Amino acid sequence: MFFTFLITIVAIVLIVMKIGSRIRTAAAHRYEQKIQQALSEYLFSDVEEIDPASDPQRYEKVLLPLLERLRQSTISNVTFSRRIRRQVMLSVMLDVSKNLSGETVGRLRLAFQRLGFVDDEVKNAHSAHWWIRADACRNLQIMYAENALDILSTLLDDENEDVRIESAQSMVDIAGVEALSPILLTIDDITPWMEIRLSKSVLHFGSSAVSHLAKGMKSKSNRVQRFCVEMMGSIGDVYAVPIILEYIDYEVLEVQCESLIALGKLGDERATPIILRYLKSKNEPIRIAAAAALGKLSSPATVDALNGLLLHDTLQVRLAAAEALTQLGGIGARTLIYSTHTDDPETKLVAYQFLDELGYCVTSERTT
Amino acid sequence: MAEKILVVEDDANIKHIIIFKLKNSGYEVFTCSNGVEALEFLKTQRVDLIITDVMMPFMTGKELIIELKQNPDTKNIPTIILTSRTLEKEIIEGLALGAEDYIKKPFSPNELLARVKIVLARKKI
Amino acid sequence: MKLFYDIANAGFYVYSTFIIGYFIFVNTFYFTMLAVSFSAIVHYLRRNKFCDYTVIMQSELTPAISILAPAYNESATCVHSTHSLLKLNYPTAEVIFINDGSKDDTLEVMIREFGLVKTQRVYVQKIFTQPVLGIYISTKKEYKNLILVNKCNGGKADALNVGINVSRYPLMCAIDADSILEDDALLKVVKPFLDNNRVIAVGGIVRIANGCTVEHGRVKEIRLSKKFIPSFQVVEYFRAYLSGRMGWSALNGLLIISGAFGLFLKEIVLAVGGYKHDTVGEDMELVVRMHRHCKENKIPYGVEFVPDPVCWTEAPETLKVLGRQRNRWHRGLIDTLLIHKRMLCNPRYGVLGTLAVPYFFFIEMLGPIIEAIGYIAVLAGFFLRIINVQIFILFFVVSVVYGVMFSVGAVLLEEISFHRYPRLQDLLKLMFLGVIENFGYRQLTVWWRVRSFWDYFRGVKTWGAMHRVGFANQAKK
Repeated sequence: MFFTFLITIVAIVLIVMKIGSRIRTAAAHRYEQKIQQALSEYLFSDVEEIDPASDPQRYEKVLLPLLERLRQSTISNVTFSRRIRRQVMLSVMLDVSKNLSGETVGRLRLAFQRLGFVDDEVKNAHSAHWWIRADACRNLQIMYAENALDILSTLLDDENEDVRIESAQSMVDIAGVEALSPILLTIDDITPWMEIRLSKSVLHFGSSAVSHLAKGMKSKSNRVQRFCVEMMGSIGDVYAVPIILEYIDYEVLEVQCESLIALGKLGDERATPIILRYLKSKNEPIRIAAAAALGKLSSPATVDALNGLLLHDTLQVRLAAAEALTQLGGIGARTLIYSTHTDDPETKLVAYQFLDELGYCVTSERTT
Repeated sequence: MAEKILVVEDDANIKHIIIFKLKNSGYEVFTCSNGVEALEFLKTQRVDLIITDVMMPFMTGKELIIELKQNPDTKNIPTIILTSRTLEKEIIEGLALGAEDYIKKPFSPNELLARVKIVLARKKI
Repeated sequence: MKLFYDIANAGFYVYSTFIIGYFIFVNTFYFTMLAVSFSAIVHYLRRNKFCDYTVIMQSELTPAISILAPAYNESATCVHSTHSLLKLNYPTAEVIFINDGSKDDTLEVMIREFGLVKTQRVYVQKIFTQPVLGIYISTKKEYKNLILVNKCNGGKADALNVGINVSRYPLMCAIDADSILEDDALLKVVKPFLDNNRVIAVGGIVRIANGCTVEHGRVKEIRLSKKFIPSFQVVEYFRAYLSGRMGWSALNGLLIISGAFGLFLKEIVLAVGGYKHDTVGEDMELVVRMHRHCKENKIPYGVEFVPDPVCWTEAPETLKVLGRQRNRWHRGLIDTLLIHKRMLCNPRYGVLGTLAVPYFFFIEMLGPIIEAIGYIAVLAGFFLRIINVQIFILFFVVSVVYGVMFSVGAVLLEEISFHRYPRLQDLLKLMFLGVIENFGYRQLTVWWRVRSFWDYFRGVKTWGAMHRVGFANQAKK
């Protein structure tokens, strides 16, 4: 009997919880709609056109009455406590702010500052719980709070990975490319997840990030160095070539391979003889990286060297060389077709595979 | 007569912003939260323009456009893709499906309005 | 007669003392696991808030994945499931469909549907497998990420090994040809690899799709099946995944990653020699071997578990098929544990040796036997009138209450964390099932598992044919 009792209790609690949460979400939903309406009115009311950059004071003055109206319209709700009202409002504003750009966002930023949301988040950044700190970092970025940069930089060496990533991301988004080199030099390791997050901003900055990435090469962590090289390659600015050349004989294999590939991606003709030299390296990974780099470079002049690899090397290198040949256009494809006539079975097979991948589909002729 | 625009977007806040902006400019606006709803809606109502997100539950915006282009009734409705997926290849893919325009999130509501005007004007010619 | 009676009496008391000790120990253990899982899930949910999967989707730095889908006589479902695999959200992924010498027209169906042509491709036998008859790629551009391998029949493990040999990318995802993955499944399970360079394997939750509506290869509406047998399994899966595996992964002792969905670092899989093809529990065996390899070579590593519901599978609907499946699972467990018996209570293997392997050995593997002996003893004691009826009833009630609590706890855990079942009646039904499961169903699973010992030591190696309705056909019904 005891357990039927227990189950009934649990079931009843569950039902009450479910129904309660449904009622609450319905009410919150109505309140949310109200805020959406008020916010839209604030964002899209026509005011005299002022450039916020040239005259910020007047811009603010024009918007203040509208902002006051937004504040008033959200207060008139008694279902929820002030804390919950602010939470709902913040979440709507953050969501809208994330998805918009242009003049509208300027108005949102003003609202964040004036309604005290920025101050709240700065306080949260000192919280004892990591998830509140991380959340604060992220929100400060969406609010574009320039006055919070100092606090964000203190969180760069936080004990929690997510807080570190969010603060770095926020700094980059608020302060722009200038924040990149301090970040790269402060962090002592970089996880793939952080690389993915940072790369989005770095690629967005483009050429202006190159000099900061060069500073980042002084980092003690090999992974950070590898990341910097990779990013320089992806940005595709030839100014990075001399910087990468400095590291091409670096003692760490990963950095060396990444440098070769980055050189290939940059597509600078000056790099061709240097990459060709590394095709003769004793290290297999370096030969593979060099072959891949030549593929990225896609210069017809390197056909002979790649063909040489395809004919006499280990299988992995041959595969890399054949793949590079497919990227060389017509001349590469012709070389592959020639290679199918050699006696070496491995060369033949590798050549066939990549011809098939190019879409030549020689198989049907071969079997008939 | 006001032109009718269908907004397909799963985020309620963004949906509201778009509706507000478009209504303010004198369009008649309908909304759906995903592709399946949109297809149902289009069976009963004709619209002049569809603005759709890509990442939505049940049916993505791309699948919606493919379905629309297969149906002779809806084939000629111009569509604008409004999405946070900003890779070059995705933009090309979206336009190749037959979308009139591709707007990246974060977007400027004013710019969206301008593009809507252009697409509708082009359709009239 | 008197002597016999005394011996029975003494035996009964010794056994009951033992069983009460065992019982207390096991249940304390389960409780700890439930608590550990709970905190692990809370931590996961908190972290998840800071992960935007579209960023992973759009980045060029995201590691590429090879999806391995082995199939044997799956012509009814293969086209459908391959289409949905090709549609998964992930920047770079190849789908390797391995036709394991099917006797039906799986190969022809696939060739026709995807416009495949035979290609010559470098095939290096990094792991020894049955001969490969041909590798096919598609002439259509939209299917350029599909590779079909046709090979001589050699079992699922062998098919997966062929897939590993063919795959090009650093991560490999092993799935069952009939499981349905959610659109973001790959993005979700790759996240642990991005967070930590040392992760070597990640498992995901497998959920039961019976009763749900499946459309366009996606689970559209989540409902509980009207039938009893699949619904019992829903509760069982909750218990096993949410309170079991989640807890184990928090302790870094996760020994099982379901064959229906798991992501592995190919480098380590190759280093341990791929799947073992002469065991029925190849999925568990591989994970145990990877653990062991890393521990023995002192490689720091992690095996993670993602509690987000990512993969759906069709559960058996008849007792006969279910019995066969459980029999096979348990034989797999026995086999794996006996192969790796060196790890049992061996402090060299850390948490694994001192906690995880002993748990699987004494509780998961031998548990059914102890329970079965208990039932027999109770019956015997009852007829020989040596049992104290009050104690018996007390013991029975307590054990059922515990069983119920763990089931209900797991259901609550699901409701708190992911609440995928939108309808209240489904949840109440799950709780109700958590109660009545203790009368009949539980005993049945004990019986199947006890019988598997018999089969195991007789040397039965069969898989037990799995009859599948196929989701596509189900939807039409």
